[in-house]
Amino acid sequence: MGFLARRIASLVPVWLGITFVAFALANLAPGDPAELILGRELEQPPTPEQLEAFREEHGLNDPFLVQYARWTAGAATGDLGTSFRSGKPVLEELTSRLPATLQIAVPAFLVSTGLALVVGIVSAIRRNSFADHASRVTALVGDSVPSFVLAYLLIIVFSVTLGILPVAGRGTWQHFVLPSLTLGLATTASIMRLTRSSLLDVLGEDYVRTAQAMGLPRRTVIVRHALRNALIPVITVAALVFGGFATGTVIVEYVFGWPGVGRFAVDSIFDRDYPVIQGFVVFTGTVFVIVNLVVDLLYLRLDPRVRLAGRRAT
Amino acid sequence: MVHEAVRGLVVAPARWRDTRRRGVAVACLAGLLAAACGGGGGDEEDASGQPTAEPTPAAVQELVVGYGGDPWVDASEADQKRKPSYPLNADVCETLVRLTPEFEVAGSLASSWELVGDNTFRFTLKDEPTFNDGSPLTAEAVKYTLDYTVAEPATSGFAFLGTESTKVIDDRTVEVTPTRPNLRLIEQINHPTYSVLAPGSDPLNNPEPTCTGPFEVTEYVPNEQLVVERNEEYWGEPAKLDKITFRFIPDDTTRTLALQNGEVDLITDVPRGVLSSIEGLPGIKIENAPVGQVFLMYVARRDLAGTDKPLADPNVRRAVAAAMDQSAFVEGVLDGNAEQVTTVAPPEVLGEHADLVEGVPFDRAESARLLDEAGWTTGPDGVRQKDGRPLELSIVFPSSSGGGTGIDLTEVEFVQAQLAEVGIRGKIEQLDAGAYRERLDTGNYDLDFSGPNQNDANPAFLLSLRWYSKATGKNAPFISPGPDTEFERLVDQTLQATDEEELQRLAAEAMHELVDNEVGGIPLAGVYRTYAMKDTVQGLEAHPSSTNQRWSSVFISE
Repeated sequence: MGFLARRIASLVPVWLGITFVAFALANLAPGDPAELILGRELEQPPTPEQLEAFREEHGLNDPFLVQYARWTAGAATGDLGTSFRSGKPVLEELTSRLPATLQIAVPAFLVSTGLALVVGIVSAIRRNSFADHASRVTALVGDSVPSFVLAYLLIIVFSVTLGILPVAGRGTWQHFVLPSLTLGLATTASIMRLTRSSLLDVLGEDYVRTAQAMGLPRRTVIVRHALRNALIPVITVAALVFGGFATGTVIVEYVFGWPGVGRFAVDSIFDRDYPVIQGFVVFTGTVFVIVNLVVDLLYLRLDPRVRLAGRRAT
Repeated sequence: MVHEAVRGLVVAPARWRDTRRRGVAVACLAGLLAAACGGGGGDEEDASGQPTAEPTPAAVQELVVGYGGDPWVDASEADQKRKPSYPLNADVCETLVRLTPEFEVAGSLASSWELVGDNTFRFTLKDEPTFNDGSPLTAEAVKYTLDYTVAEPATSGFAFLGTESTKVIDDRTVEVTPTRPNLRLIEQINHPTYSVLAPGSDPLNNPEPTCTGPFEVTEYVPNEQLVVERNEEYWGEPAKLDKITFRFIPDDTTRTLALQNGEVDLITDVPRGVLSSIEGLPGIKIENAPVGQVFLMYVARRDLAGTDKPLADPNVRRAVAAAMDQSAFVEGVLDGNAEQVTTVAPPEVLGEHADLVEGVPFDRAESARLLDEAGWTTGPDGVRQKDGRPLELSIVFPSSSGGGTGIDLTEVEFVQAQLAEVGIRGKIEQLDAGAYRERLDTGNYDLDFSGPNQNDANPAFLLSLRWYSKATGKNAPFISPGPDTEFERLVDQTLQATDEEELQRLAAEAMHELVDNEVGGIPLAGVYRTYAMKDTVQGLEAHPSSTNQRWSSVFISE
């Protein structure tokens, strides 16, 4: 518990740093939100009086630090402010889109890690075989293909040519196959390569050779002794990948017309909707903070050295 | 790849552009594959190769339209109040007067209208219209609607209406008095913003308003689709379709692939670059609307401090205009999906007076001569200079998150290349909406490449909005010819004109002054709005203003 408490405590300044960066960057960006939003609403340039009223109403005339303090206090209690555009609470806007994002993020994560682990392990234990070379080349290609190209290629093959999956939209399970595949395949290569190299490293360790020398079955050596340690860096990367998925994947959401948080965030950036931009950055930061915490806890479970270090520190 | 999502977000604008441009190649590939795999049925012809005469309506009259992103879901509350009429017009609600494809005003719910007094318009309503709940159209509904547009968040800024503007005279008569002199009300009020609602309708909170149009909303799923069905009680010619589903597909290329796949029957705003790849596909046809949008450049003459920029010199402005080869732009860059224009608004809006605007003819030698005369001589690197300062012009344009009528980088690069031919260095800056607005408001640019749409019948709309020195925007001081000019005097007169023909003449004269004499705006091309659809989709009367597009004449043939 001491380890956990220390980890959580150490995340507080990280989170505050995220809030400050989010707030400062949004405010430093060129463009007056009052002008932009009123201009669009009125379809003509707003008058100085209209601009002033908007700024006053939204607290844009207050000093930077006053605005920041007010906003951070709200953010700590879940109040991320109100969208300039829609007039709805930012948290509500984000959480209403989160299910759509998770709908493709979770399958994508399963595709990505599942495929990567299987191929990575096979590649490592059959080093320099045809399967190993083929998977490495495939990984290299996979890593090099931008996700929007992959998305279009999948659409062309599975929708336009074969006609077995829809091009875009939501509604049935078929609709999230292509977005999930695009997202998942785009990250499979990096996790696969990491799994392979990490497992190869571990397979060369003394304790693995000792286990093999003791006559343990190869499967037991790999699964129980080698893989457990080899997975530690893989878990770190996979967790970050999941964090990325869960906070929105702009390109994939855009190409497939998927109404997730990523697309929403980018539209907000274009419109200088500061509360949403700031809220999104804090939301993203918070997700990654939580993901890192979970990774630390998994380390604790998987790696006895971390457990021992934690006990010594208490 | 680890942080794909986060990285993707940071670089999104640039990647989106790439996505659009590369998407063209992808669509081409898809086109080839689809063609190779058989595709659809092909044009219907009789034995002699002649098109069959009258298409027979199919048993099922349902149309699926692939539209861009949901225009309301992430929109302001003011924009949400205009659901489902603007910017996507689902033909559910109607205005008092409507905009014809010729940019003229015609009666819609109003049978007549007249100016009574100095600034008051009286509308007489038709007897026939009823709302889709069966209740009759009344003057009270018109008052409710106009008051609704005025109530916060207001949507009616450009017509200068207020809470006291609308008065019910009797059941069929209503008077509207703008809050300040505005004789252009009739030309403006055909905008779908002023679509008449039944009292109590509130599209902001209920996406299924009670209206008088040929269709009625039956389902709206944000970010997914809007479904409308035929209003069986419609007072006019009934719609031919039973149902239209507008599916929101923001990505241009995906939308195009959805058409090729047969998931949608028709797509709007087809990207120009994709057109050539789908034009020849079996079972798909292309239809263009007349010009409703003009690609042009606004010319900044002075900066925020009032200091003259290089384009303050009329010779340099004219040299820039003369350097633009419109023909090459239309044919080479826009692939013929546009036409040459001399005006800064669709020529049609000026009626028979459009010829008054001659435009600066393309003449590179003349351009060079004018620059020489202005003292800009060619330097060792080919760029003209004066007093050791190179002639460099910044060209700004806004990023677009999709839509076939947005501006593509290649189009701006064409301008850059044309300028280079006469020794002017063009510095292109593609900006997101916020940064773009900031640059316009501070005058921090030389040329603003833009593509304004004409969505109402006021021929002086753009002139008074952008170049008029009394325009409310911050940008006007940088591009306006100035308060004591012939242009200004003519725009003043357009605001006072009471006769439509006179208005067109005055607007044409003002545009002539702006384009031919002041060279304050440089027209580049009149752009077509393009629809692509299955061969079985019939009867679309493509409107030059997409927000005034109607659907009741469309049907599906066998």
